[in-house]
Amino acid sequence: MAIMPVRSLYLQEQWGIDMLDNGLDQCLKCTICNTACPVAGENPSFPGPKYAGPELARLIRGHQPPTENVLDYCSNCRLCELACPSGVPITELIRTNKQAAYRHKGLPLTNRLFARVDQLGRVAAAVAPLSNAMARARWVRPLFTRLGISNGRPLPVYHRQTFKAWFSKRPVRPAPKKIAYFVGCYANYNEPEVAKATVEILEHNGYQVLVPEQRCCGLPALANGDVEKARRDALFNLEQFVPLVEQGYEIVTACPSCALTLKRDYPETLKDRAAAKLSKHVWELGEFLRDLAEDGGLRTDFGKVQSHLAYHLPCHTRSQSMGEPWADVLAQVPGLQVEALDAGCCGLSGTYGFKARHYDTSMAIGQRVFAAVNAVNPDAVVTECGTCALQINHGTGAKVVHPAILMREAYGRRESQGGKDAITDE
Amino acid sequence: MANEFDVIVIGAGFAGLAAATAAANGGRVLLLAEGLGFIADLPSTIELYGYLPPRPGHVVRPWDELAGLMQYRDHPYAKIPARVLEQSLNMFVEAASTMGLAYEGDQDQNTLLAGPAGVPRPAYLAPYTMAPGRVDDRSPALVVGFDVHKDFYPEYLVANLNRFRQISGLGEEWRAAVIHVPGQQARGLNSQELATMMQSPAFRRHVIAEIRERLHTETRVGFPAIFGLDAQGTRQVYQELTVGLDRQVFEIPTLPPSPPGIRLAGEWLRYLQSKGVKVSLGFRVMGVTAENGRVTGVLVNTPARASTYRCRSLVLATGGFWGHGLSGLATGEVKESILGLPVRPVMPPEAWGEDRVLAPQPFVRFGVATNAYLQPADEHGNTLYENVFVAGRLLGGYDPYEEGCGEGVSLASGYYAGSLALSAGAVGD
Repeated sequence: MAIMPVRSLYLQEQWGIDMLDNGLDQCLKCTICNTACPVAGENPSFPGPKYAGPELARLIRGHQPPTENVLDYCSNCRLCELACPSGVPITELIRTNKQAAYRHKGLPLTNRLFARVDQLGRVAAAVAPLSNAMARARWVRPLFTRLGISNGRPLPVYHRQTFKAWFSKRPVRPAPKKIAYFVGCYANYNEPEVAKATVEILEHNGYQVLVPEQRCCGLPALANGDVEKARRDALFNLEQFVPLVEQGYEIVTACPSCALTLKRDYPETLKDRAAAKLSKHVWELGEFLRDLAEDGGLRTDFGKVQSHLAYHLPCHTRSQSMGEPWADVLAQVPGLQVEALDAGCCGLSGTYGFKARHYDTSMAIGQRVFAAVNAVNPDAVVTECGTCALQINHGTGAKVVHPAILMREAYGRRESQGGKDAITDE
Repeated sequence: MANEFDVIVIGAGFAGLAAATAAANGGRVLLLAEGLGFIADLPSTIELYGYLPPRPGHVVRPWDELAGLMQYRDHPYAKIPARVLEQSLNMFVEAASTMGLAYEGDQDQNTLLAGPAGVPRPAYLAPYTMAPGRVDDRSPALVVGFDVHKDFYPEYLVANLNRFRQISGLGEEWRAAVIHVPGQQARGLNSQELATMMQSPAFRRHVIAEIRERLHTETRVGFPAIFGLDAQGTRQVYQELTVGLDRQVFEIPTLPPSPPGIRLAGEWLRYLQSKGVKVSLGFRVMGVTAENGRVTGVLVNTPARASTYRCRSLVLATGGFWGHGLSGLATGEVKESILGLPVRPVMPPEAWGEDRVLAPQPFVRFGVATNAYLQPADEHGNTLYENVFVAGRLLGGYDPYEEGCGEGVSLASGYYAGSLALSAGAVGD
């Protein structure tokens, strides 16, 4: 059997310094990216990814900083890159343009704030539940407005006991196979139950889970134009995780956006050799479990979980081109009836929909998903992305649950009555 | 196994989608493409055979004239049996009608429709939203545009069209009207944005009221192709305009992005998924695995780790130079991009181009040489891969621009390749 390479073998080997320019020159101006952009579809103020990415990048190459205030409309969902027939790294170009624009004008306060969801999390969790009450208080709202935070949607809830605090008090459970768990800010501060479920599922399948020192993956900073912060965080994470990979650890995260960042942005944006090595060992949890199942290694001692669910596929899972791993895994749980929504982007896109100036666009994009949820009328919506979950709950009132919670439920690791706890509890 | 398929189709243009549609009839099919195909830039009409050189000679009865093209041994139409060509068109019309996009034709004749600048172009099949816009009959039309629309100029279009109608002795002139869109726009809107606006009932009411004031005796009203981005939205707008204006309404293609193309591409992909076809877009195929003259799998450049998909047979519908199916125009050594298949005709780079701007360009006819079953072949006619079938723009020996046969060749060769791939996979059992 012979493998015939085309052009270059793996993307990793293309990560030379010329990659961006090459990508730029591949743009044929065909406009297909604009047809796939959820923001351009709803907000005529955004001229679309073709202009914000490759076209502005040309101006920058000509040493003219972009002056137009259009870059911030990009939500970083990356659907344009999936649509491009010519392999142009459009979102990547937009982010580079953002960086150039902000270097010139200075980073707006709102972007600086949202680039630091990790630091916000640390403060808000330390004083939770006071922080949660404050976020709902009427007198705080004018401050939010000044910071550019939307008053239209509820903010994520913070927990006094973060996942990391919970995990550090837990005895080590040795097992032959090793996982280094990349928790992510959202699971650590806002959804510690998802992180706990992740650990318990992996342990149940015979893995020892290590939670190394780690910082934010850097995606919020990248999306908000603060590439320097993203780089600092990434370099810290690489220092922690690369030695573990060398010792044979695989890296698992239950957040699709963290997974995408570790897989793609570390090597592509940071252009770091160690990052390329790391990325080959990064797995989104559903992907990891699905592959485990295909190799016959997934434990299937599931209890029955009687429920009718609607599955929402996050854009950042799509961008990893691994199919719908969670839909495949959940299909193995007896009693679960999972229907795919297949309604595109939910519109929240990380920190995007929390900004006052993007709230309406974000909700307009979400209408298709909301309508699909209402049409299916499920017991709950299931999605692996924490912020997609917030948006769908905000837009429909439906319960939204992370698949890891359901799976832990099915493994019977929680006492349950009728097997519906994960769905009916809040 | 989840990653095993009877047929893998690479490419999401007309040829790839036609191949997947044919192969989905009984096979496990995977459609792979680096991105969405270029259909979203196209008017979505189907050209079978439109022009007899020298231009602008239109073909009236394409089936009668096809024999002329088939004399050229290397022309794709010469390799596709006439009944397969007919089946492929029937397959498309049937599938499109299931998607909610009915196509119409004028029995065995081409229909002359207006292009974006008012130049008449022959189409064999057109979506129901465009078919009533034929320009070669006596009934006059009002062509409506929008003042904020940057890609469509009804006065210019109508002026060009009336020149044609005058020469053809069609008498009554078409007229143009420009509608003001309330609410100042900072910049011009493109067709996709206007198609989104048309989904608003309030905007439609405004449009209908404005047009009613300007209508004279015209029995038809032409619009830029902005009725909608999906089948359902388009149907709604079409019906409401028809009723509201009490006239036959029709769409005229615009510059990209092209809403009729967007809706066809989107609906077709959804249709394929409903038929069980797996669709994976966004990443470049970087190679194949092969054994004993058969391709056994496809490697895709996915993030972190390459993905491998195994297949019994493969359809290559990756396009020409524009779609990256062919590469090497700059280096002087033209090759098919995935398998490195030889491309013909071989000629020195000086001969690839023709200096006169609008003259036929020789490089347009470059493509992968195949045997009669669309399998890639070397210069002696030996089959290079038994289970690989080539379709669409990747095929050589034709000039879609000069001959007006782009969609016809793609649909027919795609359908043929998909059917052959399915049976070749079964043989390999």
